[in-house]
Amino acid sequence: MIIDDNPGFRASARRVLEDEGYRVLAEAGDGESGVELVLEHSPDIAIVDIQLPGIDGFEVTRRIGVSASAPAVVLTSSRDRSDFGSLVEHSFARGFVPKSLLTAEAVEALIS
Amino acid sequence: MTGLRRALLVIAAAALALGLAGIPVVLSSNHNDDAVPQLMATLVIGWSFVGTGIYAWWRRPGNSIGTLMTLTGFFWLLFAFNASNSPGLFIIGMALPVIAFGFLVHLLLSFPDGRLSGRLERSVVITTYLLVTVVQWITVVFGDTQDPSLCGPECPANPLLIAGYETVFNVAVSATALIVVAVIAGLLVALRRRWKRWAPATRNAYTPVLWTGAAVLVLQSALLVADVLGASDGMITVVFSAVLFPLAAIPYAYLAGVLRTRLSQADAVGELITSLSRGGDHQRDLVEMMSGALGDPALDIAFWVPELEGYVDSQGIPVEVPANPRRWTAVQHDGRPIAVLLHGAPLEDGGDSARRLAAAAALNLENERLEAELRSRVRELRASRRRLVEAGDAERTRVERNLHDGAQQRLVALALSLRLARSKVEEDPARAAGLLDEATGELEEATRELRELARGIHPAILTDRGLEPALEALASRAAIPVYIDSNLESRLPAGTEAAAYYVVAEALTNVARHAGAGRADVTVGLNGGDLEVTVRDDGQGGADPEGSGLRGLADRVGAADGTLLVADRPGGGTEVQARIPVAP
Repeated sequence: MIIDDNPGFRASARRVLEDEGYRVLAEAGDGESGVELVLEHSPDIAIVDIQLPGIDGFEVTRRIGVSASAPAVVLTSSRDRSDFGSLVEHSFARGFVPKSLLTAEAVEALIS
Repeated sequence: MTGLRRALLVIAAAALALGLAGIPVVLSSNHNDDAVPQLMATLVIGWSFVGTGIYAWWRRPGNSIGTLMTLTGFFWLLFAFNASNSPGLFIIGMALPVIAFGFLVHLLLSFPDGRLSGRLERSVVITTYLLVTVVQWITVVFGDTQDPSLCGPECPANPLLIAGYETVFNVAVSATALIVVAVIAGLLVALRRRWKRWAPATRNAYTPVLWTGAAVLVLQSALLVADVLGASDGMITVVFSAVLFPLAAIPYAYLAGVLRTRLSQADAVGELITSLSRGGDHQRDLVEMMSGALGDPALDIAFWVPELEGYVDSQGIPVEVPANPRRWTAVQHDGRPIAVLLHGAPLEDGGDSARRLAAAAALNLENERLEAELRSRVRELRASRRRLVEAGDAERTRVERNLHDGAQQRLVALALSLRLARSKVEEDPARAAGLLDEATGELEEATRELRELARGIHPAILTDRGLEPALEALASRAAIPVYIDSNLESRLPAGTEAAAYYVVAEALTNVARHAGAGRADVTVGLNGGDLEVTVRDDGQGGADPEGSGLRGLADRVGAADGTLLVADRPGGGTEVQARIPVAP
């Protein structure tokens, strides 16, 4: 499951993950519909961009973190992790991958 | 001799003649027992009113008080003719003089500015005029003058009499008494209201006029009521004589008021000059001194700022001058506007006193004006500095957003494609090649977006080649044909070039966005020590100079000490013109 408002990045990320044998169940362009789709598809992993229109990635993580079948959330951004201070540590997310370094291995390293 | 002066002299001569003409009429009367006292009262009161009225008329031709006083006097002089033995003159003397009371009521209710205000005042005046004309004429045509209740058997017969309608006559007389009582009640209420609106100085000067006038009218109505109720002749004579004294006093009360105003104004000017020469340090003092001198506690002063083409208060905050011209007095110095005095209550003297005071304080007012102008400029500078900082912040936010949403996203995609391609090089070279092609495309797009962004931040061509080539480049990228006419021969200081460039850039952006224009013309040239830049289009016009784009541009030009004008062109379209001093 990929939640990002940039269609170009969603396409790239899908390709990177599917190439490693993952199945992308759904994509969402904003936080609200992302939360809805997570509840609908119950994915194992959610790649969530931090800067989203409407609610941001931290809020998306908080909302889907309280559901019973909460997926492992990996936050991502084209900004540096340090730009967000300690927000990543204090969220329910498993970790943070910069967009340009997004690979299946990086995601697996965080959720294992 | 002016036309007004000549006319007033003619009126004075006519009043003199009318009064003199009454003398033989009264002296030869065969039905008037009190000939001499009546003649004296008629002449003293009539001539006093006419004389004072003419003086007031001459003093303030625009104020109807003088006219009303003169008319009151004229009609009063006609009283002499009710002593006439000739039926024609006799009936004139019976019918017309009461009109004097109409003018008197009008006079009191519009005192001292000559204007009626409010429904009550107008109603009272109109009712009185109807009473002394229409109702009075009913009593004239249906009244038998030889009846003892009206004049007596020795009086001339009424030549206008329509006999046999005593009832109509009696009803008209009773109605008159009732209406008069109502009118007097309304008049007293209206006078009290009017008096309350007066400025303290006006009250000091003119309250006696109202007192004497009200006394006349109250006594006169008592006279009518007494007549209707059938009071004795002796009683009526006493009341009638009592009316005459306050009536005769009205013109003199007015003259005393004028004198008093003059004296107090002279005092006020004197005091003001003394206080000013003693020296005060701030404008509050000046307002206080002038407010004391004018007897207007609510007085305030607003100063002219030529740059704003408007007035500001002492703190430099713009002030609206009231629409009513009697609420303010403009003050000039050497033919230039410097200030307006804002009065708490409308002035009744047309601003004479205020102008006199202002003339005495002109130098101080000019000093205060300069200070207020400076404060106004400081305020404007502060506001423009704040706007520039805000515009800078907004610009940084925009650049950050553009970088993040544009080039940065493309570079991310590029990194992902490259990494994917790297992993496919060996097992699927064809796919790897496709991915590398995609990556190249992303890289080109990213480069293009970065170039656009850099140009938006500051066009390199402006720094490298100067204003003219930069404007040509701007024109070549515009959505509509843009013609540049420039006669610059050398480079100008960077700040001047940049300000001019952004004027053209912003104006052309506005043209493309809002104007619906077919073409735009840009003229650039040196004029005196200024760089003059004009952008004209043939669109629909109606640009808003207070819109954020043009406001920001005005601030930028203002920061370079220049000015920006935005105007609709006569034939349609908009013209944006900036004058920017060429810094050394």
